Amino acid sequence: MNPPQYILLSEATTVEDFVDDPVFTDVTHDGEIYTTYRIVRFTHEIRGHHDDWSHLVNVSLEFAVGIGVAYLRIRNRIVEDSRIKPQSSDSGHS
Amino acid sequence: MNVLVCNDTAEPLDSLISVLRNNSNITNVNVARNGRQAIDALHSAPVDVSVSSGAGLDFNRMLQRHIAPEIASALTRVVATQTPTVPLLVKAHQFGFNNVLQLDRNGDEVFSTLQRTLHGEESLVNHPVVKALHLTPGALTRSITFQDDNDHYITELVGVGLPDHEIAEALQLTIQMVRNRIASILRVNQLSNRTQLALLQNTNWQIPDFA
Repeated sequence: MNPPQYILLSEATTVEDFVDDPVFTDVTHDGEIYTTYRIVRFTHEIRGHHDDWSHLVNVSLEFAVGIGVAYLRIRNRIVEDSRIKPQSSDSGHS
Repeated sequence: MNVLVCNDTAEPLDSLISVLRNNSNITNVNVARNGRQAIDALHSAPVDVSVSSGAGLDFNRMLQRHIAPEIASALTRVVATQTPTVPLLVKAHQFGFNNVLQLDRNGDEVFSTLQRTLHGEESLVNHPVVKALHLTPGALTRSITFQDDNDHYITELVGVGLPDHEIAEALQLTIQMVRNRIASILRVNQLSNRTQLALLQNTNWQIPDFA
């Protein structure tokens, strides 16, 4: 299997270029805990990822202070799934 | 100290009632044998502590909705049981009880526990098992607040066990919106997790008053 391609996006792109709503909720702990984030910037488009992640983005917590990086699966301008990337890892594997 | 004992047939508290009645530090021991008697007793005279059995826990939670808010907020609530199991402790904590009293204690120990609970010196919140779970006390005593119809519909479907993507499909909403709305409902209602929301939705009962 080929490794996924990460295509660096121009800083000129805006969040609105990719999604209708920049706010999404990540679900963790066996579907129990809901944490809401805001997409700050799309940094990479991902192609050929075995988990179907389509974009890598910078995020901030919507109701608390904190920043991070998230893998997103975007279809029809909707965030269908997300995984907040651990700070020490860059694999994107779940 | 004025005590109300809610005495049910499933786990009778007769021995506790006689212990309380024989204790000179306790001014008054009122006994209610059903919900109506308990509500009337709470509204007719000052009660410092109400005691329910472990078996009557669910019923007592519902009863709270029928007590005037100023009385309910001032009331110290204790569960008395032979077997204070971990599930009972957690349930009592989530149902807004202040403490759990083990029934095999003598009169002075019972009074001491009730008094310490009344003065906030002893509380379920400080029990090591409860403390380790990071739950909001009394979370399952609340009525859910909804911001709009969509919130209400989503919560109804969470309550029947649908996963997020099926809720999105049923209500013709995007999965992103469903999850954002659930997160918002959890936050606004100060709930810890999705299961609590489902549970609260399914136990959001009122006792019909036919009187």
